[in-house]
Amino acid sequence: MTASPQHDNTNEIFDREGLSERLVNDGDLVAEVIETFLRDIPHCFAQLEEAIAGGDWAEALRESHSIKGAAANVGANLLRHAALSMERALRGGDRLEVTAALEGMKQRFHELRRQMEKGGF
Amino acid sequence: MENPGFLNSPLDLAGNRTARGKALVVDDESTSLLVLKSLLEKQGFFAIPARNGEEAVAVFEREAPDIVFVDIVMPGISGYETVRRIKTLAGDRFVPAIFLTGLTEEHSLAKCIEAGGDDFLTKPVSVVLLQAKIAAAERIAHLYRTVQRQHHQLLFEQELAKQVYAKTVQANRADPGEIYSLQRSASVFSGDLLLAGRSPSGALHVLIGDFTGHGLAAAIGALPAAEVFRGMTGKGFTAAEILTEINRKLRALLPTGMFLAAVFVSLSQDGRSVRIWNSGLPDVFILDRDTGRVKNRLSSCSVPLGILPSLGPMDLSLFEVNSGDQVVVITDGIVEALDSKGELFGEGRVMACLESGGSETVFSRLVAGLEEFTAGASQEDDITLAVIPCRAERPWLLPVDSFSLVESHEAVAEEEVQAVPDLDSEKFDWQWEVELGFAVLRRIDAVPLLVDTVVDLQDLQEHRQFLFTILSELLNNALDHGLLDLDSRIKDSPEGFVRYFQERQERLARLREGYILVGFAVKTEDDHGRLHIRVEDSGPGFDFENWTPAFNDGPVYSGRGIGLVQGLCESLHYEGMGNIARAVYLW
Repeated sequence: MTASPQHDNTNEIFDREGLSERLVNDGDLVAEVIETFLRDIPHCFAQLEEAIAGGDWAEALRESHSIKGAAANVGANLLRHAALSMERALRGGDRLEVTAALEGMKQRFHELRRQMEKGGF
Repeated sequence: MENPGFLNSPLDLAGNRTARGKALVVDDESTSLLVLKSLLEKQGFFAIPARNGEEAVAVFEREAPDIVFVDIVMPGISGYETVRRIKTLAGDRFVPAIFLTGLTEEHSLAKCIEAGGDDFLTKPVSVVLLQAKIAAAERIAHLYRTVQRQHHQLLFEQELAKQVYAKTVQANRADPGEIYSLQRSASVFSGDLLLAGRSPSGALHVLIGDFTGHGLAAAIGALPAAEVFRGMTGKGFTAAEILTEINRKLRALLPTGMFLAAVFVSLSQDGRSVRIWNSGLPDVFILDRDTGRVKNRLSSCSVPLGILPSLGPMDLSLFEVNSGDQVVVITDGIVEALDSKGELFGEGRVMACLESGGSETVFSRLVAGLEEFTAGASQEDDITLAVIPCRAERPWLLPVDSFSLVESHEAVAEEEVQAVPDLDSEKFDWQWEVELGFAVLRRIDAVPLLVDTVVDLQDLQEHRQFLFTILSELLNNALDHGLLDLDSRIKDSPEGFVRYFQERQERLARLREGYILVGFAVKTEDDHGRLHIRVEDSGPGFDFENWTPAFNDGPVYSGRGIGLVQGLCESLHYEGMGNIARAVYLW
């Protein structure tokens, strides 16, 4: 088996092709993964926001890390970068940067959801 | 190579064994969990998900998966701790643990390995990489199983070898209590050797050896050495002959670079003299029973056994000892034992222990001294210590006990009084005569060979020791007095004993003429029989008609003498000029 070229277009909101390739072009599985993602991530966002509001930086870091991993797995490249910015902001400890990063993440997720749903399933 | 897969492949729903086994996937985030679980199923695994570390540990205990994928960052116990616990639970079983990391977290790889992780996989998970990592893990698992199987096989074979070793080497001891010994090996097998046995003459033979290295490789040479020692000691061969044979055998068998440093101690039956050979071991000490001091010591005088084709002239050092003196032999492992600070025990401490006096025995003092010194340190080399007390053994071989034997034989003799038969005139079951020329006499002690042959021809195994004693007395008399013209009265003083043997050695080396003729003939009747022995030497003989053998003929230094032969035989006569001895042994 030859390696597929790695799709890592950092400007892509949703790399559907890359995801499909990683899931060996199993359309049902792609749909299931997207569905799981869209159902699960809002919970993660809710917990992230709660942690930030409560000043629990460690918990916030863990949540943004989870979102980053999930985003990587589904090919949500811009959300992954936004989550990474959040991790840096949390480590820096600057509340303004954290608030800005949270807005960025929400924005990216909003766009992502639109694109994912556009693909239809 | 076939894909080795994992051992523990469970049944799938259709009842078929899934090809590759069970995989445990641990991630708190649903999407990642789903992606990896699905991909593993596509690879033929039965994948079991877990949402956190605690759950993973519980699933691991219940399902015993073959491979584990663990996310590092999780609520509750971390991925590192999860793997640590799983690895502990797995024990001897190799379960590959693969960490799931983000692309930016590679700096934590060291921590993954430290926690017992075997590999890592970055998110997003690529199928190609996943397949490669699984294949690598399966290969390691396969290797691990092979090593384990071979390890078990090795243990089994070691156990087998241990039993053979114990039978051959360790069953070879003299009676307990004859020597005090300590043996400690650095591994399952000792490269040190301690053999002891009684010669038919009653002499105590002790061989202490140290093979190069330790463990099984070192112990392998112990088997042939022990066989030679046991066989030849039992047949009455001398220390020199036994050492020569062990050297020959080890040289033929052992690979280059492997040899045996050894000390051979041969304590005479009367406990009055000891012959020692030291080839490559630390000094041998003889402790005086009265002063408690070292009165003699013998350094190595030869290269170890198994190196040179021949050991050259084998003159064992002869020491006069008193009953109660002790011969102390140690191997390198004692002198070079280390304490917890890495300091050597050394010869100085050995001497100090030996001469420190007190109510404890020499053996106990040395053992205690060594134990105190090495407390808390690990043992690097095999250790052997042997303390041989000098004393007379085998009371039945001593003149005083031979009376009882005489009585029983006399009773038979009275019933069947008969003339001494001429070897040529009577019909015998078999006859055998051999002429030993001076060249042979100079080179070997023929007694063991002669006894061996006679014992085998007539199946007289139970009589070996008696025959050995009779023949060695008759032959030694023929050689010492007939051919070498030695005066046994030299032996009548304590100093004379050593002088006698030195003189004997010198005269034997100069021997250029003469022979000893030895004849055997056997006649059997029902369940008993007679062995006729005729020993003739080419010497001038002696005035036997005016000579009366006595059982207790003066000082013990002149040995058991001919009186013992008379005691063991039905009859003993001298003929000719006194240069022919005829003995009849009845069984």
